[in-house]
Amino acid sequence: MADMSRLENINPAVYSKSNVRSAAPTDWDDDVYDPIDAREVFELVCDIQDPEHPLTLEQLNVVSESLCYADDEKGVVRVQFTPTIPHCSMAALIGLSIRLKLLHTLPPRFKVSVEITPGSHVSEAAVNKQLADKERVAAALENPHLLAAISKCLKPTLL
Amino acid sequence: MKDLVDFFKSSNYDSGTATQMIQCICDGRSSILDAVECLGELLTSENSGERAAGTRLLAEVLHGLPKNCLNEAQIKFISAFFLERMKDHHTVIPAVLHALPCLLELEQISNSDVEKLVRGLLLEVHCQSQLMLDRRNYYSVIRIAITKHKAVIDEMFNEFVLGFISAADGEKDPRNLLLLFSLVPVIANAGTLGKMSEDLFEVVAAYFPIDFVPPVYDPLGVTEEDLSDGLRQCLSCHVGWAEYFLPLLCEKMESDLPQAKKEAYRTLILCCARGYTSEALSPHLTVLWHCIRRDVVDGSDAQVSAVAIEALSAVLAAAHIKVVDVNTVTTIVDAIIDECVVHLPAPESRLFLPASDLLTAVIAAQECAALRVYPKAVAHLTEVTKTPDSSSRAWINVLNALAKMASASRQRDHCYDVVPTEVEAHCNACLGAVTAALQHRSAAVVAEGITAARALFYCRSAASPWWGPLRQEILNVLLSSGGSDTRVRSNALSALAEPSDGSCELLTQELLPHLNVADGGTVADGGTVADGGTVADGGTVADVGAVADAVLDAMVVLTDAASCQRCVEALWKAIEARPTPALCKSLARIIDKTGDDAGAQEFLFSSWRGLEKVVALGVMAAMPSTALNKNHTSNLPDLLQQLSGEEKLDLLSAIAELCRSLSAIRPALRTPLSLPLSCSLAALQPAAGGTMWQRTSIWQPCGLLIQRLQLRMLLSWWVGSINTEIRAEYTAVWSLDTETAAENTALLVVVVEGLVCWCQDAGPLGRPELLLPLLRWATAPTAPEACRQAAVLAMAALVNKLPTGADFLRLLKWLEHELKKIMEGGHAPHKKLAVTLMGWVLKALEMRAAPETLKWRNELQSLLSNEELGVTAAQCYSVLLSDHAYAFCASSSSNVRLLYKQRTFEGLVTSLVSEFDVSSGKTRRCCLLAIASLLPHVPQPLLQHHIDKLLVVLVEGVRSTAESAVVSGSVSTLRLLLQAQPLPSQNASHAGSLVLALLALTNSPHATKNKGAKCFLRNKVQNHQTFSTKSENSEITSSVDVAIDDVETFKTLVQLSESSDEAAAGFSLTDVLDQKCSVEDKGTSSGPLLQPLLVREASLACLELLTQLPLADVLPYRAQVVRELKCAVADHKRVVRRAAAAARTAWLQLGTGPS
Repeated sequence: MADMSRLENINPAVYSKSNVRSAAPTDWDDDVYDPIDAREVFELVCDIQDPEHPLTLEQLNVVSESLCYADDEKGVVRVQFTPTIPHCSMAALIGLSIRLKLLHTLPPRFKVSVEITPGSHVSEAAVNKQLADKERVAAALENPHLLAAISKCLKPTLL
Repeated sequence: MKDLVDFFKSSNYDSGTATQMIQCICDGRSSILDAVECLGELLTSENSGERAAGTRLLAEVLHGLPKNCLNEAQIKFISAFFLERMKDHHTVIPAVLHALPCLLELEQISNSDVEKLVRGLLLEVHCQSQLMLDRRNYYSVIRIAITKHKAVIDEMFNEFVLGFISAADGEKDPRNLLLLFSLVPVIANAGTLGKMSEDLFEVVAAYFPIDFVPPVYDPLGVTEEDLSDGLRQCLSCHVGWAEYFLPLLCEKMESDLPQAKKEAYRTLILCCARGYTSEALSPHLTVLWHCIRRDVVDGSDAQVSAVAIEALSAVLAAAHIKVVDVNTVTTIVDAIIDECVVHLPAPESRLFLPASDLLTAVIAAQECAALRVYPKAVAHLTEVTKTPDSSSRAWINVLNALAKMASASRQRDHCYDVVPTEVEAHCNACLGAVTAALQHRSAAVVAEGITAARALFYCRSAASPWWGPLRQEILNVLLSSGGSDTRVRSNALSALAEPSDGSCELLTQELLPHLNVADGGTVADGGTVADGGTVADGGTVADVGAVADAVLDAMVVLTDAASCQRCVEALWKAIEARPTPALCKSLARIIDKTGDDAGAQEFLFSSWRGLEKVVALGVMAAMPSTALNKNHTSNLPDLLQQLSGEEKLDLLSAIAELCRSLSAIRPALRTPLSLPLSCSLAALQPAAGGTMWQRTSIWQPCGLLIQRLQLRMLLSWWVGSINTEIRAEYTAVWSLDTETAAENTALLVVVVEGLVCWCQDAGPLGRPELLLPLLRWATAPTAPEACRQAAVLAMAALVNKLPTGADFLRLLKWLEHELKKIMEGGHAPHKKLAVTLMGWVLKALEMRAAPETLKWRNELQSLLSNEELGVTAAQCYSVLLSDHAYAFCASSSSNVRLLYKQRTFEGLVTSLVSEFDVSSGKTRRCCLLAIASLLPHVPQPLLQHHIDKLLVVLVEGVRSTAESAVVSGSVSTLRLLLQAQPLPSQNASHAGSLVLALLALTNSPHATKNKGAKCFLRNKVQNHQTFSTKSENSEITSSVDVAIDDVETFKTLVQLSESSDEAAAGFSLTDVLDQKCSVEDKGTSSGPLLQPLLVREASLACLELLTQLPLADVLPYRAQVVRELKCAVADHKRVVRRAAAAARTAWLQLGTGPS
């Protein structure tokens, strides 16, 4: 498997996909308000593609439901992600992808924060600072190469 | 002939002249030489146009003549003429090319003439300078020459090949390319190509891989698949080309385009299958392996990975044929093993799956390679299962890999007769792994273990020493708590269903004891073990209902014709001890399974007397508790007495299934069943009340029983034998008075519906005393809805089932007359019900394809323009193609002709769309509603054929604001269409209209906020309904007015009000909001209506699917869609938000990638 040598983490562990959310009896009742919860936030980011491997962030355990948090009433969403290796150079790109996806798919009233799981990356503080800085995020998204890489991660898979 | 030629010249080359000349020659009035002579002036004219016209005429004459019409001398003369014309002006050449194919096909043509013509063609005519059709003629000449005159071509093979290469080089037309691709293999294998082999290869290799987009309106319909397949066949036809072709394939495999990779792998597989051997492949094995490895390991495209793995198998299999250098092949196999095996000890890692797939491909390729791979792979894989802390995922991956390798090994041998030697050698290791998996705590691992056990150890014909104990183990898993998992149960039942020795023993020793009942006890079926009752074999099975079902499922799977008797008797004994639906259904399934066997049939109907027993049980179950015989020898009456109404109905349904299974075996069986039937009918009504009649399952056994009786007798018997209370009401049905109809009378209408819907022969039911009350019930506005629906259904079922003949025609005429009377003189509600009945009658007629259908169809369509009844008539179209829950289907013996839906839809759609196109105003809306009502029930492939005309209607339907049914029907149909395939490119012009219309349905910001706020508030006040703030009512109202447009402010308001200490003083914020929202929902305020949930979700799904259209058609709307979907992602329903998120992401991605 010599051709994989360009990758930082040649052989990451692959995890099972979580089960589909079980249907609630009120799902199709238009008079019932469905609050945005951690599971819904997780579903938004779980199918983002990894920049290096043909696997989703969920399959690589980069994102998990337990590390997603949502408070519908306060309008707060927080997602922590765990790079597969502590020196992963793609951490910022993954964080940007998650942030952009949430930006596009959550109602604007939510304040979104995307962070690295504490202790899982050598440059945790720097990446977190970058992801929390709106201007730096906006500047990063104006870089066409970076945007192309993020688009590749966000590419949807149609049924 | 002369006159004809003169006319030809004077009429500016009339095309009909050739036909007349052919007639003359065939009649013997003239000869071909006369024709040439008469044409002389034209053929020798100095004007090239005239020469071309003359030559064309002669060519057409030749085409029309029989193949044996000309003798050798005549042909020689004509050939010499055309040979000369090849050197003529370029305008004459097409006519020559037109003539040559038929000249070469003439029976009397000599070899020398063929040689001259072919040589002349190749030397004198430059193919690629001609038009497409002329080039096609050129290739046709070559095809005829190589197939019909091979001896001549052999003599001049080198010149022929050279000429062909020159002619074909640069061909671009797809139609001609298809012809060329079929010609090349013939030429390549016709002789020794020598130095021209590479040249010929280059001519076709230049097209590899094919990239072809068919034109929009291509009448010939040449597809990329046709061309790819032709080129693949062409390039793989000649083993000698391997030295040129394999490097080209490797180059394409290294391409960045997935399509090129796939095509290269597919062609390589075909090459290996068509004769490539070790000699051809050896020099390229290493490069090929590297390409395959990269694509499999990369895994970014699942299709490329799959085809690459298939290619590896094909290459290795071919590389083991006629091996010239063993070391090369061995080295490659060793390299594969070395690179892949290292990943097997880490089954959770990313590279485990590609590695195991590659090893599986090697095993599938060849025996020797498999023997080298299998021991190492199995050793590594089974080692993982011995690690105590292996995760479930590791187990699943390992078992899956083992199963795939075992299956691959069997596929390679194409033989299931022997256990593969590799498996035998490592059976102990595998057996240990599989046994451990079956005892694993994770149900997913157990399920995978069962699959692996089956793949590794089951052989269809050979007795495997390991399969028996494993089967026992699988059965134990099924009967234990693990059997409650659906995957485990499904896999276990599939494994047990494999035919194998010992099934009978397993059944009798392991399963039947579960049904044994000790004195006075009950059996295992989810019920509790009664006092004093014991269940054999541990009794744990009875504790959990799901596991008891597993016993019955396993019993059904293991029972065969030989063990049928034993199993049926045991089950029946259990049913007599405690009749439960599950036991009855299992018995029915066993009868279904073994009923084809003559011995089993003999047992079921003679020695066991199945039908009598089942009917007796059914009657007993249906009888009222008070009527049950307390002196019965068994405790069955007591048990039945304990059942509630619902339980009794479930039992009756299960007994119905038993009846159906038995009667399906012997349809002609006649049994005197009037008594059981009378008891059933008499007993049902007082036992369970009105709801019981609604249960369709009741009518299945009744219908089946009725089939065996004289219906006329039955009807007359009814009046006499039904108990007195019902008889009085029954009489009332026939002299129906809907105004004073009692509840029981109404129930009898449902009885009639049941009879008509389930009987096979409706002839005796078409009696006036039945028809008239039915019609009255069906069109009575004051009748209860259920009874009215039952009467409509009964009437339609009669129309559907009545045999063709005088009675049927009389019924239709009578119906027509009665409905007309209502339409002319009735009140509006009465008329609407008559229209509804008309719709159902039309459905009945459509199903049986009666000739009268057209008249009723036109009648209903004409009502669409009726001011008063148009909408009702349009709504009727929804029933025409929809499937009813129990009536109008094969199981209810309805008269359903083949392709009824297709026929009906084809008959209706054109006229409806035409009416839609020409009409306006309300009629147009009614047509739209009719089409929208029809479409959701139309099979999707049918819709595809009418997409052109339907799309316009759908677009208008989606934009419609008048009828919600129109919008809903249009959006759901559109979704179906888009899911099946993207819109054809010629319809992409509708993309803009569709996008805008769908956007309008997704949500309006105003409506969303209102609805969201309302729902939020409703949730809030669910527990403490009323609250108030310190403000006055008017102030709160104004606060709501402000807040309603801003969810955040609104929520703050709610929080404020919740924290207020003051008690509620009769004011509810919800009431204010409800009032406001209801006003806005009605559209009186600003902002459009909030669409129903299903419409919002479906329109968002459609929007997502529209992104598959050509980029140029949808890109202009990207910004608008993305902007407006910002509102939809804030919807108050999760399903809508999910669809909105998917749609918005898809639109945001438009234009960002290679797609």
